[in-house]
Amino acid sequence: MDTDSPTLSRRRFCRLVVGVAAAVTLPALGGCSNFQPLPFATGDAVPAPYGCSELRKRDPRGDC
Amino acid sequence: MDINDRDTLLAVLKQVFYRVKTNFRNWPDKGEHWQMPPQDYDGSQSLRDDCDGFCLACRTLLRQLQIPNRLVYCKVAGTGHLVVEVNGWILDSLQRTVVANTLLTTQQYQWLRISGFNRGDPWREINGMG
Repeated sequence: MDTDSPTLSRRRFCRLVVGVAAAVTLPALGGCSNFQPLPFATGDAVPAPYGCSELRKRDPRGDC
Repeated sequence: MDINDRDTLLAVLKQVFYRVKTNFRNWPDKGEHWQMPPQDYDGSQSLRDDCDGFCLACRTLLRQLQIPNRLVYCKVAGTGHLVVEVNGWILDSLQRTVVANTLLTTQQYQWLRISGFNRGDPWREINGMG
């Protein structure tokens, strides 16, 4: 059998491409990427979102 | 429980997130109608609400655990959205687990306004991170 046929070379090439793509994307999909939380930088006071303002008026337990 | 320990805090946040999410059914409401969970809410009751209901449920459980937290109003794909923040960790009904705010920034989240830690505190604009 001729293992160096053009067809097999293409298969090897495709396997290589798929393998590299998987190696790059699977860690990110699996949650292994290393994103660290950072504190938000806050500025001036601004109006609460409408839903919050309305909740505060309607419900004394409104926690926003 | 030492919430200053990063790993301990993240583990507790995930417990809260999954507890709420397990019994939560996303149900978009008309307009912007925020609703508190029932007074005796402990995570076991079924809830049907949208992102703000999810956040207020998480906030209720976090408050029971005495974990300071804030609500964050943001935009995702041009649409208003609400999440809960604890030390930069985000509890978000759109996510499958608790994630860092820096990750969501890469997913085109635009951070706009943040609440205080307590009811009635003023909201503040968000000028970035770090």
